[in-house]
Amino acid sequence: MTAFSALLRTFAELEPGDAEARTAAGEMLGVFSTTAIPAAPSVGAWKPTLSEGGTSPGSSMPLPTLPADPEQPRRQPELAASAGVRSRLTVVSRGKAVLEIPDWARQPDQPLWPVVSSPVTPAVKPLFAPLRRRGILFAIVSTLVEEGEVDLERAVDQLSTGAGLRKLPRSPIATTRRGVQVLVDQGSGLDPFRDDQRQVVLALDDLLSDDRFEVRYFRGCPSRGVYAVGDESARAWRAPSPKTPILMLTDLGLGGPLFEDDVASTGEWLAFAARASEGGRAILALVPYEARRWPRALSRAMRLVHWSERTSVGEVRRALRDARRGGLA
Amino acid sequence: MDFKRKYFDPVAAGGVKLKDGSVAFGTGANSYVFAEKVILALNIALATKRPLLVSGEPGSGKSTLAASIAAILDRWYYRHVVTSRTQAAELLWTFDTLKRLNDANSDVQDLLSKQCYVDPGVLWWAFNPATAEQRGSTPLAEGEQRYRAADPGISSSAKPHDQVVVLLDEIDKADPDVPNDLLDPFDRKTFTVRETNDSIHPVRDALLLLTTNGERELPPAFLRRCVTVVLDPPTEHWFVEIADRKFGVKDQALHVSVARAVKSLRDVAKSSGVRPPGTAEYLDAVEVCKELEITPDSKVWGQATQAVLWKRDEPPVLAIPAEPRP
Repeated sequence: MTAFSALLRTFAELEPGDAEARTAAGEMLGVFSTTAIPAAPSVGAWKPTLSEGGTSPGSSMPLPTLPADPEQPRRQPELAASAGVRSRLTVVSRGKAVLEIPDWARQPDQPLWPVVSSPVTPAVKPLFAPLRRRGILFAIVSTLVEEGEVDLERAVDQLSTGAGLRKLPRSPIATTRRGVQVLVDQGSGLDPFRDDQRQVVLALDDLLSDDRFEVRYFRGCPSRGVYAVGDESARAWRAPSPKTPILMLTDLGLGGPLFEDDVASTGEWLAFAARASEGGRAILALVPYEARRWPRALSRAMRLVHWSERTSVGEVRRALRDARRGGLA
Repeated sequence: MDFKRKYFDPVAAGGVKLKDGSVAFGTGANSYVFAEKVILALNIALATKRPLLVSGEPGSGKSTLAASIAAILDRWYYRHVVTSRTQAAELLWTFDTLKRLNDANSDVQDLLSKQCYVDPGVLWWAFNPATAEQRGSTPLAEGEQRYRAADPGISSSAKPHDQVVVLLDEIDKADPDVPNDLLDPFDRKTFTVRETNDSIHPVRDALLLLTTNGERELPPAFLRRCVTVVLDPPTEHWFVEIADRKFGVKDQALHVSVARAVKSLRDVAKSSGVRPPGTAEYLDAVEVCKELEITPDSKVWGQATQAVLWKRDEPPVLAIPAEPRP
């Protein structure tokens, strides 16, 4: 029975006599979609909501305002990715070559061209298409638990040794019950992907229970310190519970200007990956740059997934399976 | 709202219609105040035979709704609390493979028929309790009758019922695929126990209620198959009505005072981002105040409030005037 035929049946059986009852019936059956299931108030971990500002459909969640470095003026992350593409050129003073910076580029916080204010900024096509996003993210953040069907082959194998069964072997199934810690890179190399970062965080918020979902922001590498929304200063990164996956939305320092202070070395990333993966935690990173640019050592230390319009669920699963075969959690 | 209460009419069942159109029903533990839109949603769910998805703030009466409906409709009532580990298949049955293996290797315990290791789930009980009790469509062997399963259903009367209410509480706790998966057995109703190749057919009609705290988004396909209703946040009046129904109107002034305290704490909790106290906490507080003769003027009022309503380290600063109910 479709929603519309269910509505007809409702009208025939219950004979709603006023507009209020008819409208309510339509909403309850999903024919008139004005009633949304409200989300619970956020408890514990920060939870972004659609009412937190922003002008474009893709920029409805603000990123936190990070404090400026006292020694070096640092651009604050945009609250809404709607002010055009910003750029910053850096003078190289330690070497012989010194870049001549034109006057128009001397103000790093100014956009390269005038921003035309508009009530609604057209949404940029997301890297993960909405129809595939949920499946891709589920594949990324789900972990395997051996709670599926009894694995007869393994059971027979074990019994054949005569050792007996201490635990019934079961086939693995995917679950999101362990939640995820999301680490969002605020480096300038990710500037073109701010909306994508927001969309991924929002989609994960829909996918996971509030108490299993933690979002932190960082620059360079999470081991340098992380921020939660509203934090005045960086705090030390704390690992989530054992076996809870960690998802990073990062470019691993591949993008952005040359000689950027925020870029962490491969060694720093490797040290972080080693520390984060203790306790059986899977370390994953969505990287908006092609695999050929990824530092090879990092590919072996964490699961890297290409964050692009062409990424499919199958591709993600294959990448994660290959990583597991390679010995990663 | 003007509509025919064809399938669910708490007034006809003895409820009292209140000024705002809601209906107070029952006394004691099963008392409930049905908002008009809830009555409409239930009539729609029963008319269209669709599951009813109930959402709303914590403490708005989602979980207690099903038991009250079962009481009004005089149906058996089954409840299953969904957890992050719940899989849709276990609502029909589970099979204790490990126990069977253990029995097969035991010198003491004889290996029983496979049927004895089948554990009926809540939907099996709802659809066909006779076969659920026997763990299959055929009766257990003479010597295995002691392995009959116990019916987890609750009924307000001893008479047999051909209709039931099933509550699947906190569906949003489950993994994302579970909501869709569990509607499939509910739609088909007939199923086959794989381990025993036993086909089970329904003999009872079930109204399925699901609750969600909105912790995660439910799949659109699942929402399309449900009738949805959002319960309004509980008001002081709602709390008092529930307490009057449960405890009687003798201490109504106390009910009002505690309702005010709960309302204030709910406001503080919401602004602090913590879970607000709900109906269960309110009724606990009323009961504590009655049993220990605590009033808002008592010295221990603050401590009692913190212990039963607030349940956090820092006590909230609240001034609760003890005024009679308007």
